[in-house]
Amino acid sequence: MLDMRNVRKVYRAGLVETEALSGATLKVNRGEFLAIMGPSGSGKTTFLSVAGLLDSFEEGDYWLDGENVRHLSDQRLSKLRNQKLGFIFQSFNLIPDLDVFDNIDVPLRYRGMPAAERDTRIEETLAKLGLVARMRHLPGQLSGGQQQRVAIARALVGRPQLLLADEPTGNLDSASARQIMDLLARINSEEGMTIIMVTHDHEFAARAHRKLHILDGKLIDPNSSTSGPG
Amino acid sequence: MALQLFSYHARLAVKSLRRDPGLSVTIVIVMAVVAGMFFTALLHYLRFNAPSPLLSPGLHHVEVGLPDGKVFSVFTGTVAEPNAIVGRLRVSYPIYRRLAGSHIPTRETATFRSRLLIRRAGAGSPDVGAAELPFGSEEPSGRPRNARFVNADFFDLFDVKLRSGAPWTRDQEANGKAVVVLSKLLASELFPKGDGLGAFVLINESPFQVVGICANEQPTVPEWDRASAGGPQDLAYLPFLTHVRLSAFPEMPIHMSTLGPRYADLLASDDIFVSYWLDLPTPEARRAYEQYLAAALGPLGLPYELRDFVGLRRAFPTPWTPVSFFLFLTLVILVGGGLIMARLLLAKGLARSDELGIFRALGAPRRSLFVRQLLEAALLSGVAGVLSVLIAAPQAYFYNTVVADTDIPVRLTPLSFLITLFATLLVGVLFALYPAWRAASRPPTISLGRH
Repeated sequence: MLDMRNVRKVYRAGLVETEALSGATLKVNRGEFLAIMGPSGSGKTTFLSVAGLLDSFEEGDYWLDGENVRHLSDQRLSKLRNQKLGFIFQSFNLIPDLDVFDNIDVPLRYRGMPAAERDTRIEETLAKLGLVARMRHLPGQLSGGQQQRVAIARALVGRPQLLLADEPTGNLDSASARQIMDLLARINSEEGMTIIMVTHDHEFAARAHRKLHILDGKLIDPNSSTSGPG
Repeated sequence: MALQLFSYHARLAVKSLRRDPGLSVTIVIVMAVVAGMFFTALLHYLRFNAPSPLLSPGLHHVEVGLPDGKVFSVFTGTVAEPNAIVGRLRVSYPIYRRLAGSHIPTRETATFRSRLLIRRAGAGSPDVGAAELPFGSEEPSGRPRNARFVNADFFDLFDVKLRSGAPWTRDQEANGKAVVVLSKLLASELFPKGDGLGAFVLINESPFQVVGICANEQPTVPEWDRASAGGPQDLAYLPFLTHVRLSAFPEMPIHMSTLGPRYADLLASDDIFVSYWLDLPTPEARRAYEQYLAAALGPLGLPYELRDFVGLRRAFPTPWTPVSFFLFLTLVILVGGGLIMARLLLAKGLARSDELGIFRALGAPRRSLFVRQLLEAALLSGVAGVLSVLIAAPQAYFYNTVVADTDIPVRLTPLSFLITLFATLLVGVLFALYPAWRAASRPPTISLGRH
């Protein structure tokens, strides 16, 4: 599903260069649930940005579902993000002036899907996540847990192949966080969706099939003697 | 799909007006004020420079010099000077008769303006029923008004539309029929309770039957006689040959030599000037008329130039006036408003950077966000364009009530509104290009605050 080899990402601010990813190598199989842990500033978010095609990289290669994304156009990258990837952010990132239904509708709009098909998909997803009663609410009218469920619904509605979750429980109380983790685990086991989750929480990371650490831009498999588990 | 996305983005743009309402309102107010200024200037400009109707492409004009150079010694100067235009756009009466003697079967008209006494028949003394005109000389026998002598083809050639009735025919003109087409303004003044069609008016105390009423205000600087001195509009159109019966003097007789006592002496002199037009719709017709000119004017040694309407406009471009300068100035101000709008849009884009990042993460390409930003700018400037009426309308009312410098009022017309709306939209969208590009090309990781 995801095959990243020796990916290097550098941020430049004037003369200062910061290497956020230094030769990251990783292979994730279809249906796998992977947790990535690491201290602040270790490169977790950069890794997810590169994996999610939100950011470019200087060196290395990255195949997403068999397609090398290194030199793709913005149009093609946008299409891949829209069709193959789903994002869940720590701060939910819902559009505040769109209601739940319209928030979930956003990725489908960029697929050019007919209105009737969009409506059906959204209603199915809302039902699956128990949000039907909230579909005309604005994000500001929902609790944190409900907002994250809407964000998950938005990520799932396009039936992506890879779900990228950036500390999905970071802004939630423990009960809501547990519900969200249950939901992600269920999506992975029942629908076979590949999930890569960045988290600080060891308990939640333990629910993944595999756990990696990231330190100074390098991915480390704690169960292996060498870095670069790919 | 493109249309679907377009309407989706239009809907999002409307919603986003509610986001950052302070910025949106500021943009609309700034643009509405500058658009209102432009609108106001445009109303004044259009009052004196009504757009030309679609004229026949065969419409031709002949510029002829006069013998002895005596006219040109008076009319020396650049073409921008009114006198120079008079000298070149009109011909003396004897020359007009030569120009009109070709016998080529075509539409033609001669025209000159005179100031005549016009009143409703049976309305008592000459100045009964004559409303106060803003300016114009007053004579003991009543008030002179602008009246124009034209041939029957004039209305068709220059697309002068009538509200009711019809122009006189060539036969009626040849038979000396005393008929008149009234301007909209004079008709409403003389016949406030009805149309006046079929009624009689007295022109220099001779009865003339009203056969038509103009549909619109008549231009102060008309295409058919751009050398006209401006001022009040033409209030009546009379068959050309009736000028003899009325012994009508042109509005600006320039006496170059001693005249005899009879009206015919004036017409035989070089002191009365007429504009002459004819329709030469085919190359053959033009060639035939060129041959005629060579035969009629060549032996006299007169310099002449036959021009079609486009060539004439090129040779005599509309000169700059204070009103056109004012319009230009407000256009510059409108552009200045666009610059302010661009600055505010940059701020707006920055304020909504996270939202744009979310859209990028969910699959929106740069191009689509760029279009969305432009749509939003178009929406804001469109609203401003519509609101500009709130500035232009009171100004027009105030001007018509307090200043009223001519008998043509400042009027809000659909055309002036559409021009203002278009100009405001154009400026808004042009100046939104850079902010839209900046907002759309911002990396999604920065928009989402991910590093």
